[in-house]
Amino acid sequence: MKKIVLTLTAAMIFSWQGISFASSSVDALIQKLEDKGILTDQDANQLKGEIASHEQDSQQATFKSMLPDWLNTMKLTGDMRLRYQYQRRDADAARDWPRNRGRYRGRLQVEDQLNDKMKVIFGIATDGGSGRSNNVTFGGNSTSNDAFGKGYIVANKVYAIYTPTSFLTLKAGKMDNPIWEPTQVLWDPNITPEGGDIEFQKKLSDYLTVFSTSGIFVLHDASPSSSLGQDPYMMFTQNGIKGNLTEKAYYKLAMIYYNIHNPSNFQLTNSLGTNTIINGYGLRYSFNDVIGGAADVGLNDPFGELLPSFVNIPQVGVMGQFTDNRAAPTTGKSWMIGGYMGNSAINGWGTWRLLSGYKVYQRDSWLDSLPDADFYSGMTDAAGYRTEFDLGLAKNVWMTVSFFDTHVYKKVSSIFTNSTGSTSTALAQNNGESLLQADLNFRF
Amino acid sequence: MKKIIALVVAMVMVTSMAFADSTLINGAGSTFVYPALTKWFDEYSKTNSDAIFNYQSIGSGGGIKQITAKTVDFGATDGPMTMDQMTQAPGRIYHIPVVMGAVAVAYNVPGVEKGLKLTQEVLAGIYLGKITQWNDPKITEQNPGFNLPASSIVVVHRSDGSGTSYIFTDYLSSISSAWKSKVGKATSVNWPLGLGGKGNEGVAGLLKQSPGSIGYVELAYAKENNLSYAFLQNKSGNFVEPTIDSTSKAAVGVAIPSDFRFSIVNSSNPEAYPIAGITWLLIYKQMDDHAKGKAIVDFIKWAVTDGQKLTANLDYAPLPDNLVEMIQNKLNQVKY
Repeated sequence: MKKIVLTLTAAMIFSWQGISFASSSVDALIQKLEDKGILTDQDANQLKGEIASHEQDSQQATFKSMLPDWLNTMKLTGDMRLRYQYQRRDADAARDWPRNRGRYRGRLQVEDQLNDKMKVIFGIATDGGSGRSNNVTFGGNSTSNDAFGKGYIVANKVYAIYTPTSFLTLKAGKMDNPIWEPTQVLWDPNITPEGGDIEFQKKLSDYLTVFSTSGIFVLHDASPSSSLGQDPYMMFTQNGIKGNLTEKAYYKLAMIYYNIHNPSNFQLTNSLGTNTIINGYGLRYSFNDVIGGAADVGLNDPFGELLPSFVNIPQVGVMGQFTDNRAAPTTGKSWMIGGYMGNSAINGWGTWRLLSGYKVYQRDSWLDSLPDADFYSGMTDAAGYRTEFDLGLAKNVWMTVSFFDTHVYKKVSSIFTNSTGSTSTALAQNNGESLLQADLNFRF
Repeated sequence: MKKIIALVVAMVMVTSMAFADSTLINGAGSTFVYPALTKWFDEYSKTNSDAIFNYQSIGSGGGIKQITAKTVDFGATDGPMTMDQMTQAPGRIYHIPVVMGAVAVAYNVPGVEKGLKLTQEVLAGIYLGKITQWNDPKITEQNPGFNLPASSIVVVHRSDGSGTSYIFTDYLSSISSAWKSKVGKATSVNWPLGLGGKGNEGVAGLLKQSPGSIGYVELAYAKENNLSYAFLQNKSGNFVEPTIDSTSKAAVGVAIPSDFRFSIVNSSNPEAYPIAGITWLLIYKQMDDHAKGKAIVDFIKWAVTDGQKLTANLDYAPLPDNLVEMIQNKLNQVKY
């Protein structure tokens, strides 16, 4: 009997390689055998699954061989997020009631490796109405609040990547933000800046990799008739090191310098009005001399085998960041300090990550149109805690719960009547805000 | 249609016999260890019919991905998971060494038999693209008895994420600072040049069909495909043939860490073959399924003891006794 089984197994394997299955006939045959009680449900389903999988592989291989090379190198990826959000501001006349909202976000990206050195990325996303958001709120969209109105789709990324050598990369277009931040302090993660950059990265040893990112981003397209005369833009250079001190201990450190060229102290169109302005003049302080630093230091497998087998804490770390707009001596600093633990990536059921930090933005530390829109609505002159917990639910599906406990940092006016600093009115907003977000995320 | 019916009947018979009251264990990964696992599954099932093993030989990179995603019950890899990879897994993963083997540097040079002597400098030079002709003086001076042609060297490497590549690039990194800084060691690297073949089978196939080619494959694949292979210069300067004995020698005197993630390439033993590697099975310390957990642990305990005697004729070297004892202790810590 053993010989027969082995012979049949061999026949099965060889046939498997050579036959293109007529799956419907085979399915019918398996069904017949199942009906007659020769096969169990489980066996029948398994056989059907194996045959379907093999047939799919064969079809895919045939299909792929018929496509041109450039289409075979194309990758289509995307993600989708469903969000419940609770928001409350204390004693704020305008918002003295909790807001419960539902939101959705969808993003789709095509990436094509054109040749050994060039790649292009084109991404579309739902329109959140600003550069800091791709969220669409249930019951509303970017232009109206009509019942069940359709959301718009916008160009989220359009850029080319040129890699002439393994350590050098050039990018241009509307791109993923190349500036490294351990957590969102200066930049909302949804921002896809427009311009170009040059990136250098060279691993010198396991202990030391040097990296550098420098570029230019355009902030506003000025009309030729405008008094600006030139588009406001920012130049930046970030230089840092990273590596492993031991197999378990890792670090990443960087310094950054921003020079924002902003003629006439133009207040950007999507400003939230929390930078100091002078009536009839514009921004009181320039942003042409902003320095900053960031650090992320941690341990992999910090507890070894000390914990029970059902407890898994693969990584713990601390991170910090500071910024100093040296043109604004009393209101130009921002900083963040925090920590994290859990998996380094969320990959399926059971992976998790907890992150928490405290952040402070002085009023003129950074352009108020760029910080994380979830942290006190993205305003400067704000401080508070951000805590986030991610949990993998299944392959490519995970949930995120975020809580922001924030408040106005100092009750100073943002509006000055003249350049010496006389203030006009007292600041209206001095309140705390609680923001809870529960997200269900899908990646494909 | 007759063929299909015959096939289905065969599958039905095999499947219905196999699945009756059995635990199905799925594994994936290394192609290097595939011959050994196949032999083990066959022998083990003769005395242990309660576990059925299904192994997909998709390469070590795939094995690491699948065990991380928990889509298989065990993975197999010839290169240990990096710390970064381990921090992505939803639980603690144990690396359990199960076999040691040699990676042969095989070639297809018409008229040139087994035994071409290659120095460390020559091998690194060929893979860096600095030595491009078979009659390069650096090759001919070590091989006066061979008639090497004035033809180009066709470099072949793996195209998939591969533990065999890890062992090979680990070796090149240990002997060449240029290789270490430009390419490094990993299951998948940016090769400076060459043709890519999928799996040990793919590389062996490319070597057979490409005169003037050189590549690296697990020793059993080289022998099975009647490929000529080189004697490599080891750390002591000796030229050594890949054999079971010279592979075993590579592990002598090596300090074994408690997580078993160690390398035996470029051993200081004067009789050791320099491109020797270990294959690890990857399992979770905390198994989700009691029956599967027990079946896997029982199988591995058998594989590292009785199973070792079965793999010698497949050109794998047996694990040293002290390592086997450490493995047994580690397996006792697995929870299920």
